[in-house]
Amino acid sequence: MAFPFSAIVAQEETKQALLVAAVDPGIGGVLLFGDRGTGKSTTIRALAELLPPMRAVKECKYGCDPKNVAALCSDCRGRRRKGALASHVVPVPVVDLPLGATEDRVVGSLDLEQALSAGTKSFEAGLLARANRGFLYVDEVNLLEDHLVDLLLDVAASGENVIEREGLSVRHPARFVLVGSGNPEEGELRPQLLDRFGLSVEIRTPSDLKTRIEVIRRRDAYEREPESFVSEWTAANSDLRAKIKAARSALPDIVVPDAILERAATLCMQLGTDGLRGELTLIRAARALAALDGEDEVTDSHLRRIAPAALRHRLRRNPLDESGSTVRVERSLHELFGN
Amino acid sequence: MATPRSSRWEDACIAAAVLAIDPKQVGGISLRSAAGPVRDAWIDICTQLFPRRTQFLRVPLNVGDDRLLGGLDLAATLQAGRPVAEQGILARAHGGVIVLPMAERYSPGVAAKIGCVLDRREVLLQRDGFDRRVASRFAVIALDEGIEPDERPPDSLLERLALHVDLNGLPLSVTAETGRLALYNISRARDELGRVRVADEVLGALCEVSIAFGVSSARGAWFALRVARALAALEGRDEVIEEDVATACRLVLAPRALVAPAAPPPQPAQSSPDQTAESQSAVQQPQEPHGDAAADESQSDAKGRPQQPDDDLRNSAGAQETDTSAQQPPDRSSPPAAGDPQPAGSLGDRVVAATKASLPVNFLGQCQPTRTQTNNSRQAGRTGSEHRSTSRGRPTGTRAGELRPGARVNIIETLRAAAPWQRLRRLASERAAANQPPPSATTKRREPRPSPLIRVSKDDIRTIRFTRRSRSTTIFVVDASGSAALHRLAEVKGAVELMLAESYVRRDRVALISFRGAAAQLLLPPTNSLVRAKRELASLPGGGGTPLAIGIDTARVLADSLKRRGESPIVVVLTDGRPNITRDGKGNRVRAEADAVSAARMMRINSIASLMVDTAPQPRVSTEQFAREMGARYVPLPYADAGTLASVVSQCGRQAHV
Repeated sequence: MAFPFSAIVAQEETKQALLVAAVDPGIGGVLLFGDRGTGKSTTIRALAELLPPMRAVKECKYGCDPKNVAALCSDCRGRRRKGALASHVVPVPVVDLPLGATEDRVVGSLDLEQALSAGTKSFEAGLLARANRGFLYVDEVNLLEDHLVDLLLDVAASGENVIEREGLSVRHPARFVLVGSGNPEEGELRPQLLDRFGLSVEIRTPSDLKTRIEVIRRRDAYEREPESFVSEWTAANSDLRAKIKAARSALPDIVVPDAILERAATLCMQLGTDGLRGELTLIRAARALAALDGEDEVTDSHLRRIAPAALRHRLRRNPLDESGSTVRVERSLHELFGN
Repeated sequence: MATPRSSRWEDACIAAAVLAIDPKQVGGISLRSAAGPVRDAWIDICTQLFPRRTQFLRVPLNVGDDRLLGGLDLAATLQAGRPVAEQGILARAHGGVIVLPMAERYSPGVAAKIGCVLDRREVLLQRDGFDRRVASRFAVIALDEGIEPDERPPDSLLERLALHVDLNGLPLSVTAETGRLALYNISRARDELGRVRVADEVLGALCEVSIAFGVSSARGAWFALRVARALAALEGRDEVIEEDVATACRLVLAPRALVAPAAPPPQPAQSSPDQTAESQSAVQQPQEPHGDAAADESQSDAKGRPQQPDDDLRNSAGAQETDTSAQQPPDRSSPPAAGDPQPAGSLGDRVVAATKASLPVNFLGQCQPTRTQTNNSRQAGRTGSEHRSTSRGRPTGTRAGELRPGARVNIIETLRAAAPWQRLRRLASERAAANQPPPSATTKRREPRPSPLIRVSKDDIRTIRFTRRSRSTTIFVVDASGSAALHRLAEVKGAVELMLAESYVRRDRVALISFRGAAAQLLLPPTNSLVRAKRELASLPGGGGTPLAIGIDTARVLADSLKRRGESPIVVVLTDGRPNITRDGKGNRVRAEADAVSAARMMRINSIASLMVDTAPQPRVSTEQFAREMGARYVPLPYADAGTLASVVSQCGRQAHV
């Protein structure tokens, strides 16, 4: 039984980023980098219980969405030609990619059991298949083996996993929100990987006494009596779930005024972020945030709240300004929006 | 050490008892001690405290993922004709204890995998075609034999072990004394654990102590809470009392301290912590007669240099927490936030004082700078100094991959990879031979008759991966300006020659840049040739202004280019004076200093390991400040002679690149 998402104390930016990604999975992943003992893994596991369930094709290894015809896997396409696809409601997958995982389990490979006992070839889906339409979580992402990182980058960019090994030739949809967490002291992340994350959060330990006491108090209550603790938070969790659901359906109709687009562009220019990716993510995330707030138009406030997460990992190092990237984003925001 | 020997030993015994009572929640013990009879005695005591059938599993130092996490049991698989999983050590340890010998040498990767299982209480196996999760809860005893301060288990592991115990320096005689240990009933304490109540005040005090000592992770206070509970259960109480809180803080939070608490606010509080510490050690800690003396010493230390650790920390990456501890006194004395009406006499303040008393006397003077510095140098060292290679260096495991020129095949691993597929491949090839060749023919030989004994395909190939330590290059940047230049240059020259003579075996290289007047000059390009160094450094010009910025810029450009080639440069700056020549070669002291600072920051931003040697007769604060801007280690060496210089540099280089 996971710790309830709504019972997590402080860490507002982390929660905001994960909720935004839950509303719009196209944002491109969330990176949580920061201090130890701030409940990074706890938060992600809590997210799994929070997400509204989804409708998926029955008996599909990849959990295809019956409504999204363009993204169906080849099996489902074949079945659809023969008749309507049977579907059922399943929880959104939140899949762990543990350190020490081997490549065959990540991308999928020949089914060993079948190969050994029957001597037949069949494809056994890996973690990327299971994470389709959900979240793929890599704890200590900066310690992941290089060849696995390359693989993830490739799949995350294309949304498709292609396997060509052992005489197998399989391709299947693998669209997932990549969530990575880690501690920068263990080593920095490669810039290519950094850039793939839509949002990045710098996690700090809360510094005020009251918050820290509350963290310990809740953790203790949870450890001592998990069932009753979780049930105490069920209502708050369902409220949040309803909010995500509402935000998802409202998302297509959220208006982004020209003034906001202009401001986003100015902000990115001021900060000298590389490429257009930052600007696009910023606007997209601001829209999702507006949807979560139940508003129909993106305002300055949304832009402001999400800009640090959308931009801080895209700044070039500036030799004349050695302050951290968060400070630089804040400073530009301040210049742009005033107080 | 501030705590007297006997009580340190007693603490170690209590820690063992706590671990035995609540092994799953406290994670484990990091035991810092050289191998020897004292450590053996402690291990004996600890083993006996656990229920009889508890298993203690040793994790070998360079354990591979297949043994640690599990994987395919090849022999059983081939025999059974179906995949058989082999349990890893971490899964087998369920309900028991794992022992990590030489824990200071574990890699962050292995530490992270152990940490993940400790956190999740299950092993996630995603290997060799297996997809399993196996429940596993165990305690860890990390045997840390480190000697140097930065020789310690990976932080991610230490973080997850509640108890940190240090036995170094204890004589064997202390082990005769097990204190109250014999009186304790561990199994009853285990049963009672769930019934121990904790007052809200205790939670507050534990959080207050962690904030005061700069323990940023929430695990600190959480572990202290669990330990305090176990201590109460140990004494047969159903409520945590102040003594339990104080002991828990000593065992859990004091070893994690990054800063000593800021000196309490001026008047009334100044005397009160001493008094409370005294009264407390008199009333509640009768077994610690020397406690208050230690308190006085460490406090006077704190007053002497209150700001230093904060400054140090602020310069290291990711140390934002210090800000909170610097603002601590006003925070704590404001009652609404802290939730306690009388600040001086609150439980939190009393425990802070008691915990402070248990810190080593030299904590402020010694531990702090080294800790932050090692963090810096570690990081710099890690990014640049280890390189994966397919041809040279120390073998560190294998990886799947094609045969590329130069790659070396690991035959055993390749055969292991091929083994499970033999039956399938045989059938496939028989079928292929019987029918016409199928469209997607597997990669194998075509000749039908002599069927190969083992069918190895491209996917099976495993090549050996090596980790190679990169070559290090020491770049000396020497101030050749002013009157003392000739002396300095001569000594540097001596140091260069000494280092080259020494480093012959390690193939390290040395370069020398001198700056004077309006320019810097690469006098000796990176070389490992002693002969060449002697020739090119035969005559060195000196005198003129001090263009420090130009000197550092030149060194940075060189260091950057070396880094790009995969080498690990370390820059050693020797100067005695203040810069007075700007980047564009003009004489302007103010601008020259600004230029030098910006050059220094560039060094830090590019994370180039560096050392600042101050050769001025009177070491200056400004030079030290400057070293900080550069992220450099600062060494005042007024009478720099070649021998000392060479040894300081090579010592620094080792720390930066190990």
